[in-house]
Amino acid sequence: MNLTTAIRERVRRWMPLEDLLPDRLPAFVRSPAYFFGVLTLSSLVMLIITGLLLSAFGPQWWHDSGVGRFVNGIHFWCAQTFFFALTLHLWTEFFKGAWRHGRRWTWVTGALLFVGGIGTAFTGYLSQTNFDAQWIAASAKDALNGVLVGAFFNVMNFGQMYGFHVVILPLFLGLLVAVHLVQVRIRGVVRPYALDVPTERAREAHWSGKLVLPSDQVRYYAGLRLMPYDLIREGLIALAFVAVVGIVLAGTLSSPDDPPLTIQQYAQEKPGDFVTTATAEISGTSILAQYGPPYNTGTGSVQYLGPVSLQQLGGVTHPIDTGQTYVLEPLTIAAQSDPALATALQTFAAASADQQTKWEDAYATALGTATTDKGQLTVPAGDYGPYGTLMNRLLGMATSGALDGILLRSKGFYQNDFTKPLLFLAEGALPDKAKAANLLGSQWGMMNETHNYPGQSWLWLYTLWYQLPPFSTTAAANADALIWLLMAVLTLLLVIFPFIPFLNRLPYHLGVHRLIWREYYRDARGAPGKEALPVAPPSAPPLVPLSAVEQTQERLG
Amino acid sequence: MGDSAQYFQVGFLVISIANLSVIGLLVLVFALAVLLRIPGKHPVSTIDLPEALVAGDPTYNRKDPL
Repeated sequence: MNLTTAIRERVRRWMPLEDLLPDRLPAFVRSPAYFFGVLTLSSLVMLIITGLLLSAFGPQWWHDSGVGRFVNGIHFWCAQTFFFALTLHLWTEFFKGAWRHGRRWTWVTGALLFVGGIGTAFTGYLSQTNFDAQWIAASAKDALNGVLVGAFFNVMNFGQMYGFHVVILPLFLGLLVAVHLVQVRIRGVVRPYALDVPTERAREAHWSGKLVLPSDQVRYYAGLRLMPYDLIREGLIALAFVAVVGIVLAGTLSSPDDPPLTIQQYAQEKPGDFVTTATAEISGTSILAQYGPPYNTGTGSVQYLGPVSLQQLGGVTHPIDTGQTYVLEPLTIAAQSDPALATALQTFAAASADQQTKWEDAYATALGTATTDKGQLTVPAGDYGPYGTLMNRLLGMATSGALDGILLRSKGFYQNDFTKPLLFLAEGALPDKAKAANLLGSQWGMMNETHNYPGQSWLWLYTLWYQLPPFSTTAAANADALIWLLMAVLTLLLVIFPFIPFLNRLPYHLGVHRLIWREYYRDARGAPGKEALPVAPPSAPPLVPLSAVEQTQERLG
Repeated sequence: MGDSAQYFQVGFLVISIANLSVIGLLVLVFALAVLLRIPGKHPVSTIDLPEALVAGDPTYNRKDPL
């Protein structure tokens, strides 16, 4: 068998150009509800174009250059139009029952596109390398850690998130878009619900089976008026519309881009808070030191689904010993050129654990009465042993920016994993700044954007649950795991909705389709003075009379 | 756009004004899309009328290539 011939003939039979690029559509297509698919696709094209530019020139360009910021703004607003159109497309297709007559898998690929789009946008927000990205990462890490995902999908690793955003997820989306478009064109747009239930059921039974190609659209639309339609022109107009919207919004409203928070900035502005956090890290009393997987074996932030903890199943995949990572290792590096610090480190290391704890506790207590003047921290004298020297030097390293660099270092030359500095900042500095920007608590930062820009409003259904009891009250400790499990179930139901008996008839009973296709129902019931038209009566085998097929084929020439 | 985020609160539900505006606009556009019609000429009927009816229907566009 010649595979090339076989595939070519199969493609020719299943995907004839007349179906892929039709110049006629059924005349019941009169509602703007049919525009949202092409608007979604146009937004995706704009996202790809601007995304390629942003990737080509890199983060410094989109932060520092006027042109780069403008292109970044278009990318930001086109992400908004993408989800705006995609959500409307999903709603309108739902009310049309667009999975009927053999289109269930078209719905599935569309729903997967929605889910994949959320993931792509989420990783895009994490890749901004600004304060918003930091806060979203800090907010989202607990949710992802709580359901095991954080064990291998690290939202604080810019390199990983950027790779997902510009390569892995776009490839996945591109493949899904291609399959979805081919599915839509092979079957065509779905017919309106039949006038009566028995006819609709008979039609569903007939058309949900295997297609009889190559003339199925002709048979499927038999009895319906077709009208000239220019899909390519519609696509170009939609693309121009989205481009204008993106350019105008980027030009007039710009896009949010608050600079990221650094440990240097934190230490300079709040030296007392910095040293307090560092002391909590070395004494093992910080949130992170007691967090649990994927950072350590603690249990402080471990979440459970009943008796099961998915978080613990993943194990410690990003190990962080807070005392070593944030205090002792950086000081050891600095001690190479600082004999006094080297002596202090040796004294601290030689002391017993109890003695170390006494020094740390005494110093932590003294911090309560410490004073700050022009960025200088003055701690009252006390019995801190070498600990005062250690903290003094660490603060100096932080204010100089050296600690930022040390926490980013890895075996490679290029650094792109911000897990360590971000986790340190997440102890207090990021929440403080987020609080000042009004991004805290029940507003849940992952959905919000800095200032008054729209954020990821498409996550509203996900974030809504955090505000509802019991997730906000008695189940708050395990809210991430519970809500993400709930949303996983609801998302799965959305994807497989066409396959759920009885529930998949919901759009028919809701009746919105009668508005979308009101001209069709008017015509099908018969205009005044005419008798009701025999549109695919249930007794006409197989729903479409052969004469109607012949008539349509004759008209098509 | 430069100020701190503003929020709308009803009971325990809290949402930023910007996000609420987007969701409100979604609902509005959806309603308009359902109620309005694509501008331009459309065939008089959405269905193919049987020849017997067409013959007596002055509104039927006989020149329609379809």
